[in-house]
Amino acid sequence: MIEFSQVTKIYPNGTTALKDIDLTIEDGEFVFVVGSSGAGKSTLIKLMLREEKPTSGTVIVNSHNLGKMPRRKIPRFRRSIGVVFQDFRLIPNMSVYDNVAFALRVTNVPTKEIHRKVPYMLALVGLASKAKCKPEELSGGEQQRVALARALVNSPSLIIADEPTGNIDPELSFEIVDLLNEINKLGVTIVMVTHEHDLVAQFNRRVVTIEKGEVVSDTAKWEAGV
Amino acid sequence: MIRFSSFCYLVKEGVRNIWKNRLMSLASVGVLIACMLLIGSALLFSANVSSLVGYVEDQSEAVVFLDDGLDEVKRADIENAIRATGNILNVEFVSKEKGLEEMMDSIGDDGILFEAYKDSNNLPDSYRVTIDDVSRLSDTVAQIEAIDGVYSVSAPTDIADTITGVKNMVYIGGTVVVGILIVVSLMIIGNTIKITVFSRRKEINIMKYVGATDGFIRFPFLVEGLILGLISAVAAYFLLWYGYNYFESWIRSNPGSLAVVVSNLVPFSSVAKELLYGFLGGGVGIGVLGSATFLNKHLNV
Repeated sequence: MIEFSQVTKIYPNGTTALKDIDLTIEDGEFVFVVGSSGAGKSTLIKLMLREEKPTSGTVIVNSHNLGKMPRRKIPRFRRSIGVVFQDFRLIPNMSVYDNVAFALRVTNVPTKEIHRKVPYMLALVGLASKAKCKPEELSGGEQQRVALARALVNSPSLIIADEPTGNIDPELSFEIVDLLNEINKLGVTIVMVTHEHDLVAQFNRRVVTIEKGEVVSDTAKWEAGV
Repeated sequence: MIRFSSFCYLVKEGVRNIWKNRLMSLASVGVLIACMLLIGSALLFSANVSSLVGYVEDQSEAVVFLDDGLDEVKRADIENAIRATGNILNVEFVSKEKGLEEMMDSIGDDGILFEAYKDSNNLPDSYRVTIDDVSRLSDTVAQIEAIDGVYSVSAPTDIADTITGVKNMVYIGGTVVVGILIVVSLMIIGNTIKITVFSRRKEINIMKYVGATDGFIRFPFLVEGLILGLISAVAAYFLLWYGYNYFESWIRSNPGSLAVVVSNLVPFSSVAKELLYGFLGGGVGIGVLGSATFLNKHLNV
């Protein structure tokens, strides 16, 4: 569960990114966060990942109070979250397989488990046949699916996707969101930040709109659908 | 704790980084080798100076001439007073008769000319004194001169001052040079790490997001520093070995006016162990220390 209560974030240069935000996302939800650039979406994500601390208010993710979490506990916390970025952030000189395995190797996972999990994840995102390719040999949509496999491989309970379709052809964007949708059906909470309203409209999900650091609308379509 | 497979992976990453940035790795190894060669040369030079100084010190005797006509009791007092200065290795009494004989011996065949003086020997009785620490020679001589019954002291104070000066110069100069070189080595290693961090910023960023601990992120860099230090140490050791032996054989075949130096040359094997351990310790220390220090600066983990 993600819980923002009265969260304000003011950066050292004086910019107020978020003002008195209250937002609760339950386990298993799929939430779109929309808003124009500079509205505070990125700050919202940074607070969820504990890249930034709130200036005031509390941020609770998976029962961790992030404002009070000591530095040494951050790595373990982040292993419970998968992150996907607009620019994929794959390592260019590593194969698709190694890119996914990387997330396990650097978190002290036994080799046996790596060999078991990575092929499974690649199959899940439909890229089993491209395991040996380098990222540059793949299309944008495929690269993003590799990134998604990497985000999923540590079995997180929450996926945060920061404009995951921003660098992908519109027809392939649907595929990515659809994949997120499928993952959500397995019980994983999804928070997807986007400014592509067309895409949001195709999926009947909860939409949180942020403008100038404030939540201006929260259409809980997902709950209505239940 | 960290798994063996993870450990192997991280070590491999460190090695891979060296190869990926091979130009910079080569530069740091080169500078480290240069630093160690200079340090090693300074040490060998000072070892040789010490050996030479030791040789000269062994030769440095002072002769204490006594007033005429002292009895045995008085002489014993003087001997005790000389020993009491605390800078004396050995005291040997040379009677006026023995003094004359030695003088005649030293002159050689013509010494026979002094035969006539045996009955009217004007030489004073003396003590031949071996000095322990030559750097305190002037003080010791002054102390002995102040003893009642001592007529005069003849000692190589000029040589002693020169030796002491050389010793101090080598020591201070060596320390300054070694200090500067260590700082330079640290800066070079730091720069290499900085470049590696930059070239790996994507990976480091991803490592942070997937929840790698600080230790996991740092480990490959420490391995990198360690290996660069080790390679430099071993290379510097063998280069110095070869270079010193070359120098040694050259000076032995061309001794010229340096005959004293040649006969007191320190063989490489007598300092080899210390040098190797010093290089290994220094190389690994600088490598790891450089990595650790500059990593925290550049890696905001």
